[in-house]
Amino acid sequence: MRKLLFVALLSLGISAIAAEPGKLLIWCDDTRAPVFEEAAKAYTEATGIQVEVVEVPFGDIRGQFITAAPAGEGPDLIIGPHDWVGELAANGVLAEIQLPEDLKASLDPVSVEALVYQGKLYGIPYGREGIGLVYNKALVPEPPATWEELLDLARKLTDPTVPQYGFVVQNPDPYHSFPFISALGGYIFGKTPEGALDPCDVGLDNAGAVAGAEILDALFEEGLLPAGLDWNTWTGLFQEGRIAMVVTGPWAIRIARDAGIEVGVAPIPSLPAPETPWPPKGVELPVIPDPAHPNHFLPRPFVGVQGVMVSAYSPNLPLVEDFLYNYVFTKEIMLFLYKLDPRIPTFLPAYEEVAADPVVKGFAESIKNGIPMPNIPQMSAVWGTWYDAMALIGNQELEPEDALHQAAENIRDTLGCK
Amino acid sequence: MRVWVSGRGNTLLRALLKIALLGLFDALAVYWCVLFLWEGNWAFLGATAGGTLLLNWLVLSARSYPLRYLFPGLFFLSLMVVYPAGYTFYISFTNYSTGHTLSKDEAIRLILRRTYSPTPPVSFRFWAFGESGELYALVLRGEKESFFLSPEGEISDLEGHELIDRDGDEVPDELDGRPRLTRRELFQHIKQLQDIRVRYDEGWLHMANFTEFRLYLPRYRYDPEEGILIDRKTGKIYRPVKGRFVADDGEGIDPGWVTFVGLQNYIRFFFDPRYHKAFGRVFLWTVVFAALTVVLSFALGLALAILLNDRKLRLRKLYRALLIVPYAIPAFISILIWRGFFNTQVGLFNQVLHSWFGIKVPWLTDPFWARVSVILTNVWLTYPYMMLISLGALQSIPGELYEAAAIDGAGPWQRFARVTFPLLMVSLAPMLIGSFAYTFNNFTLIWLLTRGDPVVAIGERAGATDILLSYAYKLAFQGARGNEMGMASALAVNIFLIVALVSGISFARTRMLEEVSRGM
Repeated sequence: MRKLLFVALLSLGISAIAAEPGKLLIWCDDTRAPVFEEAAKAYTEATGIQVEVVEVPFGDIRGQFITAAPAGEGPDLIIGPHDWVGELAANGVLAEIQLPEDLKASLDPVSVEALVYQGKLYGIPYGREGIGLVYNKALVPEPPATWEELLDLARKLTDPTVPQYGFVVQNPDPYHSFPFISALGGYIFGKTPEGALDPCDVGLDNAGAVAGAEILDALFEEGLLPAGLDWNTWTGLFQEGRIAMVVTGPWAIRIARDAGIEVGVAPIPSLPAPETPWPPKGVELPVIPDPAHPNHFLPRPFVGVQGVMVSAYSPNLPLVEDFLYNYVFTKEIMLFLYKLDPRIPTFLPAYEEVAADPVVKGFAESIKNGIPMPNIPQMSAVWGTWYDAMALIGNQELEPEDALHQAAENIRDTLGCK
Repeated sequence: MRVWVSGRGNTLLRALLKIALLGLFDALAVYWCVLFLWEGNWAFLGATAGGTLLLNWLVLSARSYPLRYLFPGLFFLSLMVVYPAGYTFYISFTNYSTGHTLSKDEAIRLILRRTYSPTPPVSFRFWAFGESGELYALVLRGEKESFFLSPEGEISDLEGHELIDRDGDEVPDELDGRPRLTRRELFQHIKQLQDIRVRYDEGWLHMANFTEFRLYLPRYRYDPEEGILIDRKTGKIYRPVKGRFVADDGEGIDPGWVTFVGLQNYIRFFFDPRYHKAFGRVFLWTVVFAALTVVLSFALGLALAILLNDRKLRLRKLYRALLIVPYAIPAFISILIWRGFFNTQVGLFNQVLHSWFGIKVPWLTDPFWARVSVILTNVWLTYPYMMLISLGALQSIPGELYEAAAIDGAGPWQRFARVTFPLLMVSLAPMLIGSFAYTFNNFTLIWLLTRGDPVVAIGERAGATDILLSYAYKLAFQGARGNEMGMASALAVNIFLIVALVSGISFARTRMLEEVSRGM
């Protein structure tokens, strides 16, 4: 059936072009195609090697690549987000990448880590993104530095009858709750001694995760944060100037600006530990203390990375390396890429150039201590269950401890870890 | 066309044209058959060949003349109804899911193509030599040995070849009188260079970058007699378990393959606690949702129809036009508007309730209120349809019956209960059954209004307002282990059986109603 589909596609000429020796083929979506065409032109001029960039709809790249690559019908390179890596590498279609030291030194280390699967690197990151504290400058002149300051502000500015809110987090969306889960030591998957993600070490119900969720839960209980606040509702309120601070990503900036709201971006303030010392004696938690505030710890949002991945079945591995290291990861190409796909550059020389923009800088600071969103296929067992737990916490139907414990147990059960 | 039909010569022309078109079609069919044969796709081959033969018989045989008119209908019926239904049925007995989408042979073929580079890697420094655009040969130098390598990939000793290093920098400059190629020149021969695969040890050497050839070994060996897969790197043995190669320590290799699992998918719905609790709850809600929608919207629609049917009512046409509006607006849009109305913070309903009574209802976040919201919205969307069909049916009730009833001294309620309602049901019952079956599977409403939320229990997948179909969708495309097509298909088959059963019983009862009307 699948093959038949492929025959049909071939006859339509949609993906008729396969990698062939002596010529590079890249699959990427329409936003990024112009950039790689630019790099391709330079490469052809310098070496005489043809580079073809084929636009494939973003949603089709992963699936088509898995079937096409082993059949010798795939491209040499694909461009995509880092959470593809687990599935693609498990299916054996990605080539391991040995970064030259000088290139490695000029890439953001968290972003490189995002593309590692089972201890091996399977891509080169070019853009990163994550969430931070976005605030309306008209209501909040100076962003709060600690959670206590933020709470004071939120209490002063919140009046649900208007409705107006001082501080909101989209919920029950797990992605936006992760900075709270992670700040005091919660995590999704721990690591094996070899540095690979360990799907059986689920840290969603450890002391840190529960303490962080309690902080979020207190917002619901106090009536500062409405349960079930979705994207449409809060962006609408934000555009009307009725939300002072929100945890969100770069994608919301334009929406605010379109409505004439002047926004600032800062890291999410550090969270206070429920007891001292933290972590409690005898417990090990991956926390980063806030150097400026004792007993406070830095929220660690998920970091999402976009990168270039190489087909394990490419007949052109030597060319691919040469092309990537010398013609793609250059400041000019990375800046051009930033212009078309404004994610924070991972290539540090390019980042320094664009960091003059306070918004870019704000988000980059916020995700500096971030955790790459797990790229292993087991993550699909996490999202739905975690969402359920956050929903029941938000609706005050379960205490954070019970909700997170049930969710973590369910995940362990699904992944066969019990 | 019409000109052709008359006249004798045109009959010949028509016959010729018919033959030519048929020939063209047959040629195409043969082409497709060859393709299917090539792929070993027997099912499609059989269907195409059989269908073509049938078509030829239909066109050429005089006896099959009447069948010609049925054929297109039958063809599309089998293509669009029978085939998908059969395929779903088939999938429901397999483990078709993320990681299990290939056949076993394909999966093994993919796994066997994997290579690995031994640690530490075995690599050879290489230099290429040639002149005037010709690649002459390569020299490979490893830690212990050096080789002469022809562009055809034949490897031999360096003895008998003259290798000169002029400047003593350990980099040879000339081979048999041909100069070493520069990096730039290597690009001209890149195709040739990359194609070179040299058998070495148990694997192959090939070009890894512009300075090195590296050894790659096949990662796995398949033993077809034992049916096991052996990892040559670690010596681990993998056995096929449930459509996947799994080692004794539980480590598996992707991709897996599609395999029959018997009734497992069905059994899981009824006995696996992770599914049966959700399944039971969702089933109950689906029935309640469909039944309440039909009853309430029919009651409202009928009441309005009777009202509008009253000739004493002024501006009837205006009211009728206004009342049909919900039916005229695409549901896609109105459902989203309703979703906005139900918003807890900024929605219209809560703003009104708050300013009048000072309360806020958690419409879409509380399980009970979310169900109320779903039914309210659906009644709004459905009543105009009920009103329209009731209006039509009311017209068909003969006026004499009412006169006779009035003479017999029946009051308005009696006239409704004894005359109007039974007669309406005769013509409307099939419509109501259809409406029930449609509502039973009204995915659009649920998906646009609540997505099945709010959450009831952790890890159950199905929320408070999920109906069977949206639950199947969640299992198929948002499952915990990726896409669980097998499970979703089993659920789809269940839905089919339920709807078929409900419809069957109801139609049987309708026939009884018809007999009642015949009796009158």
